[in-house]
Amino acid sequence: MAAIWKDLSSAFCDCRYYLLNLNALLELGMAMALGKPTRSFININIFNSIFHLC
Amino acid sequence: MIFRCFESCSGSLFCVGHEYSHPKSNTTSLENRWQQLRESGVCIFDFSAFQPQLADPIHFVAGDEVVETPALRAASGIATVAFECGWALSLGKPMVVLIRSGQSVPFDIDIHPCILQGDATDADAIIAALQIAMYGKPRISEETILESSRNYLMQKASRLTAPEVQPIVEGIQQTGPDATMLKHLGMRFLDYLPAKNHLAIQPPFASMYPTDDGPEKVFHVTAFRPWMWPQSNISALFVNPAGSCIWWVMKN
Repeated sequence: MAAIWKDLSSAFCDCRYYLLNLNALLELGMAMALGKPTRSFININIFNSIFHLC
Repeated sequence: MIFRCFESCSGSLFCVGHEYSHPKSNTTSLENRWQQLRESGVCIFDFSAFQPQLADPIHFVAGDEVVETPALRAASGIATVAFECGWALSLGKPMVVLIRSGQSVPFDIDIHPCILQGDATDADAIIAALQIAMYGKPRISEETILESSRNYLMQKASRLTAPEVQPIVEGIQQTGPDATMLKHLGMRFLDYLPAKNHLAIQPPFASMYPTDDGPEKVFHVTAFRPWMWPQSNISALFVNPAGSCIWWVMKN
């Protein structure tokens, strides 16, 4: 986690989800809380359940 | 104020003198959650409903609806918990992570989870976990970013001309190894930055500040699962908000 934290100095966040992996969602939340511009590519079947994350 | 909890520990919350955060009436659901988290002094994240075998299968072929549909159904409830846990981690909020006996935490955030046994001992376990979160020692880190923080503030200050900034800059230069003083000076300084609504955070791990030198980096987030590998060589087009730069991200 400490190493991932340093990666969050990146300018942008690019996310890809096919299933809802919790580790990936945690990192997305961290990036969004830091105000990183985020682009998510997700499985359309996810959209209805967690649309507000996109 | 406590952010997110579950019904069975309401008695515990009374014991420690806290109450739930409440949704606001005039905001979106996402903003509501964000504001509740911001105003909370401690956060509880309940992962006891997580079923990794079902929600996060290791063997999976994209498009296999027999696996996909139940996996998404099983994970959808817990997904928001993980997402908001990321928020709390970034904001440096004291937090409690709940799991059931026999479960493991789905990620390593350097917190000992509170393990629920499903009996009368759970209330005491949650009280102890809340006390550790609020009054225990913070994560032990040998790294310090005090000098990086000072340099970052000085770099930002060099672009400002307001006379009110000068005493703050001098204070930042003279503070020495006093992290609390630097934090307060930094928060005063934020008021003079051109864009408004800045937020000072104290993350749990030593971080790095973005630099203006060199190419901008992209932070890539995806599941570390074998079934994601076939897609790993796909290039992603990413245009930065200014529209001046296009990134081709090679996945590996």
